[in-house]
Amino acid sequence: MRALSIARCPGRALIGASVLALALSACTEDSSDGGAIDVELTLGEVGRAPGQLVFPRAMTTHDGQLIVVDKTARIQRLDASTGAFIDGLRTPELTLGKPTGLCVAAHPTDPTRTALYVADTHYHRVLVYDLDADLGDDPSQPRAPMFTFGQYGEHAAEPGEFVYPTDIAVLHDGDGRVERIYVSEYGGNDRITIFDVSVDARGAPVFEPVRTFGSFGIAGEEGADEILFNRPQSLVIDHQRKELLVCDACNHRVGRFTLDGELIAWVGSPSDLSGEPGALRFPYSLVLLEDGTVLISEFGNSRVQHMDLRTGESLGIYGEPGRGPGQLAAPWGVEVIGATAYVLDSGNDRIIAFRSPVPAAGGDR
Amino acid sequence: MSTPLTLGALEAGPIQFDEPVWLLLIPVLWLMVLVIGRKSIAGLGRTTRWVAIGVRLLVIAMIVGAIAEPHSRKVSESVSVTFVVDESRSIPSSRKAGIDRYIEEAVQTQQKPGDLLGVVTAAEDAYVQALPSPLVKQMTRQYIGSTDATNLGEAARLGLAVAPEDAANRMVIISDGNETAGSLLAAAQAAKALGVTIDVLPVNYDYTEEVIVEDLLAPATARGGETISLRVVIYAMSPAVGRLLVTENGHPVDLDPDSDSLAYIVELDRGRNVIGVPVAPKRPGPQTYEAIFEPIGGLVQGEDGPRIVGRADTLIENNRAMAVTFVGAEGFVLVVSENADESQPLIDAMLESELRPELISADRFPSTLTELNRYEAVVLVNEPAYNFSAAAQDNLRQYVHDSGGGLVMTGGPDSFGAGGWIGSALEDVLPIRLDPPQKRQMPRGALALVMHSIEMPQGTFYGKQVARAAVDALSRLDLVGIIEFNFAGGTDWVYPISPVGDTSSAKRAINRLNFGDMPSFDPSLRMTLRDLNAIDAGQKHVIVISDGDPSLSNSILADYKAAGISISTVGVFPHSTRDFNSLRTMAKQTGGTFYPINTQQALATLPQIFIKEAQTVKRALIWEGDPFSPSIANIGAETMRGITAVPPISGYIVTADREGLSQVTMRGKENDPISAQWQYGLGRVVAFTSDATSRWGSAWVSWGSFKQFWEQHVRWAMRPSGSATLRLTTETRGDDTLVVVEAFSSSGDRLNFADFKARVAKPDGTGADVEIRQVGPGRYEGSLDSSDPGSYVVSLRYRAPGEEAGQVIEGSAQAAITRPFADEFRSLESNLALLQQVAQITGGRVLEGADPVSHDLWRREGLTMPVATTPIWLVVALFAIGLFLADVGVRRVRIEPRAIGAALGRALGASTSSAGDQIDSLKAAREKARQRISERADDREQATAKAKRRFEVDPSAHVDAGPVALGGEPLLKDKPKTQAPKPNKDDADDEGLSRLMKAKRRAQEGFDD
Repeated sequence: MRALSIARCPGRALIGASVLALALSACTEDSSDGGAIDVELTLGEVGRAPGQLVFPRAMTTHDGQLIVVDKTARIQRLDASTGAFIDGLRTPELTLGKPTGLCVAAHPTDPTRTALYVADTHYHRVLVYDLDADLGDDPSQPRAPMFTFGQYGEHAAEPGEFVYPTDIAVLHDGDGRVERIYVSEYGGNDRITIFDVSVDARGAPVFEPVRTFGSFGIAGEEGADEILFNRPQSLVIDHQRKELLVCDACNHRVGRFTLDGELIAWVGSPSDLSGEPGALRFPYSLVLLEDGTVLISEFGNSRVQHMDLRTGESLGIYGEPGRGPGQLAAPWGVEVIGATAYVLDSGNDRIIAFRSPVPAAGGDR
Repeated sequence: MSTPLTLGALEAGPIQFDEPVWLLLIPVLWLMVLVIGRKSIAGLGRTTRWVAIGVRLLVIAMIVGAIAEPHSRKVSESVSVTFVVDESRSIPSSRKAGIDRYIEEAVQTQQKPGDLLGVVTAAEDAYVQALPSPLVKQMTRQYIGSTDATNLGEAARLGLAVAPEDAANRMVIISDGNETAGSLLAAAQAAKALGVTIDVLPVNYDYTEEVIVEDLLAPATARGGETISLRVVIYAMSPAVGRLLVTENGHPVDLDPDSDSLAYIVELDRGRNVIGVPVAPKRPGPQTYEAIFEPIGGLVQGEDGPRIVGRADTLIENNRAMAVTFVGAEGFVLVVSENADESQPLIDAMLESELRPELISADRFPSTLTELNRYEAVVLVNEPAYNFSAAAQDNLRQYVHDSGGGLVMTGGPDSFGAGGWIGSALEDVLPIRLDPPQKRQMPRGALALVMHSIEMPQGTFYGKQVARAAVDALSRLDLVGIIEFNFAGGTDWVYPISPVGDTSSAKRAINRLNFGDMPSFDPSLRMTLRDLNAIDAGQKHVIVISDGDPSLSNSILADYKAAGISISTVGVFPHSTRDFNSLRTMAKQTGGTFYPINTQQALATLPQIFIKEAQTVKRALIWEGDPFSPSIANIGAETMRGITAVPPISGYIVTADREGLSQVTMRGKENDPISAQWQYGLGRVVAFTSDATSRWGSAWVSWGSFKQFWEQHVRWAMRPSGSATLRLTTETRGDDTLVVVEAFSSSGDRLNFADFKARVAKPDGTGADVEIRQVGPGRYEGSLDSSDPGSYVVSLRYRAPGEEAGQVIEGSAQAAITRPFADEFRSLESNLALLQQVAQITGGRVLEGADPVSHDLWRREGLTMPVATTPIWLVVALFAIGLFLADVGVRRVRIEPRAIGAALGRALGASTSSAGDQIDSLKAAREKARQRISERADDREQATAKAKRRFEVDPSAHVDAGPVALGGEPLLKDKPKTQAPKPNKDDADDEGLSRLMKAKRRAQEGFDD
């Protein structure tokens, strides 16, 4: 009887037909269970012209815009909805290697201004650029930073010396003033250094290393109370929960730490490289979401995983390895602006945008 | 087999049918519908009937349309312009800024935001500098490669390959049109076939001040102590003055002994100038002469004599020429050995035999074929392959095959298969097979290659090259595995550890390598260790190639050490030399070797390193044991004359017999060849797999026939000098060179009926036969292609009947031809004709001037805009189904807008009332319905009466049944008769009802009858 009434009613028939059409033609796979990402936007393409990318390796956001550094050492600010080039520059030196970490935070001494912190990995230092100023209209032109800090130090070096710094995280106080700066590094000296920032007599910032924590080692080989890192690739501060989140890339895990460097928990399973949900393989970057969960870009699994770091539960998988639409090749980074997630699809020289399962955490600069 | 009948695609506005033949069904089916429909829906009202028929026709048209494979067409609006920019050295460097500016200005004439710009550079190789993109706005140069040649054809093809499919494509070639390789015309034909037009922007130049050293003429052969006359041919576009310098084997010849300067000052007239230079070669063998002209300035005749003005010359690359003269060199033998003690007994034996041995180590091995040709034989004493560059190995092969030189290879632990010669250029030259069959092979080796990214230009190329070199150096039963970090699956075997076999599957895997950037060595080293532990092999070894920055845990190295597996590491261009620390540790702790590669020069040794390291697993080919005397297998051989027994040996390298004309003269255990010889091309080769030292042959050195044995072997292999006198001259005519031989017997008579076998060794490492024919008494000629720059060595062997019956005259001779500079520097003006032809073929334009605005490169005229098609059959079919259902609906369901409106109104009203109101209204509705039913019963009675009276239904009657809308109360089949007059006859719903009425009436009539 029901079927009859549908057959008699062209309106319903049309609706039924369109449902059928959707079922036949559209991909019904839920992209959060892996598989190609349901792409909203693809930004960037391979090349050296402004707006083009050559193996981009780090990404951050500011004011609804993306800031990306690639293997030509160009740092470019891109429009997040079109990918159009806004401004950019090149780091002063590049022959030894290119930066692998970016962070936007308050100016070290002036909370009303914004700065871009660049981990100049192979030059063993952090560059600080003024982000309120125009970065320049030719991203291939080298520009000097406002400040730099850090210098080369061999294994077991003094705090404040780096082998290969990978990322920076900045802790703000209630007024948005820089309270502390965290810098991660690898190269045998795998650890995190905490800097205090003060101002000298001439008004210039002084980056004072106050302590370091962690040392190089393989997950599972640590003694009691020992923190071992194997290439801590990126850092994020959860201001709300007062935690420091560390992607311990080559140990295939993410660490939750107090802001003083006390270990709260490790998430991930260093010995399980199966690619099952919940397992991580070379997690290179993560971004905090509104509800305290995170999106993690997995360099080794070529995907983005939505995880709850409090329970270790996997909430969704986005992407699969490949060169096609919605597929990823060794993604180095992930960021969220509003309700849109952006994954830095490094091996495909592009940025893929998709609907984030949870909007970005608010209050971040 | 007959081909099915097909029609081309049919375009109808934005829709295209790929199989339009199906559309023919439409009129046929329409006709059927009309015929059948007349009957089946005759009962409907006129309008309803036409609507129904119309809908049916539409449904049929859509279903057939869906079968005809409809696609929606989207015509592209973008134009892509790919610039092919000639970057070769024939383009004056002063023009390059102008070309860059032209492209930058041309971008301003882009018409739409989606217009694209791409850049390809043309030189010796073509490279894409920027893929066509709307973001590219200027000329970019990243890696151009060698600029000594112009291959416009390859560049144009590359431009076609990167042309986007979703835009109309135009190519703009900016060039002088002087191509030295490839064919631009062929590429233009390909462009035409693809519908890409090529505009050309000629770079015009005309060198008026130019001096070219066209040729250096030297006799091909000379006797020792003779003074020869060189002639330098210099062409000048205008009178000029400059210095002339001549070098002999790289050392300057003092042309002007009276002054401090080594050079002549020469004044050149306009046109061709010939300057004679006498020289006396000091040493035997080939002498390489080079003439270099250094311009001082132009020469102008003034009132008070000539004055020097201007610069006279524009290109300096074409200011040199080379020639080679062979000076008789008899008995010279090159002995290559790393250890003088090892080769001393051999050297002594040769000196006693009046040969002239010259001992060198492999690092001083002659780098050119010409130098190598100074010697009549080369003896390699226990030399491994990795001591010789690929070029040196190729030269040695050519030296034997094409120049007729002799090669003697003696054994030792670093020689033959154990010295990495398997898979080398020399493998085919030897009279034995280096890779013995399975039965003779001792425990096999296993080699794993761990490949990390190589971050430098052409890093992938080098990475693949070294992997291939390593695989080639293994024998077929050895095991090889290749592991890398892959973005798609993490660390994994590209080629799981398995036998090398014929190397083809391993090489296919190497071609697939993508050199991912592995963050950590651990996963790959763990996987390698696990799999190497699982296999059975004598020697297990790992080679790691990396820039050194992945992380490494020391615990894994202890596991390797415990398993007895060594790791050698190759560090390539690190971010910092400190990165080498982990590679150094890896090698040190496991007993491997660490190789730092920091310079381009060191980079060239990479394949050698891999071959050497691959040898680590090849020790299995060495046989060592109790001394025994090899058996003599071929007593009649020239080399074994007078030798009936040889002393014992205690070791040799295991090899196998080679099919063909190889002659094994001595055999060892299980019939392994110990000594073998054959003719290879023009030359002869001897292989002796044991050694000539106290290591394996202590009894040999003191053996009385030691000198005789080696003299006979070396002399057999040496190039014969012959008793006739040959005078060789060469003459270059365009791309060809004519070889003229004048032959005299020892008594000075012209030598006739000689049979010449000649080969030319070319600069690219290949060889070719040269046909030499007799053209007159004692005169022979042949011609060869000498179009590439570089040195050509022509080698001749001859046999001729002697003066006495049965006597045979044999001998050999050589000559060299050189083309010192690339053709790139021969052209003095641009080749406009070629460019014009290309534009004409593809329907493009020859652009004049340098005004990109007037050239309007992104203009749409002359381009076919590409069309993107998307299949839409599913959509069409679904609409057809929907329409079909609508067709049924049209005839079965009454739609009354008024009623729908009322129903909506009620629905809205109800939603605002309270629950109590709803119950009240339900009650009211029930009451109303009851009333209506009783009214209907009355109506029915009245209508029946009326029908009986008039025997027909009033067409204007309508049912006052209250609002019945979609989804409302279904109409009953036995609807009451109509009551009130109907204002509109065409009302479709009433038509339906009247049909029911008619049917009922017919039934009643039948009943009444």
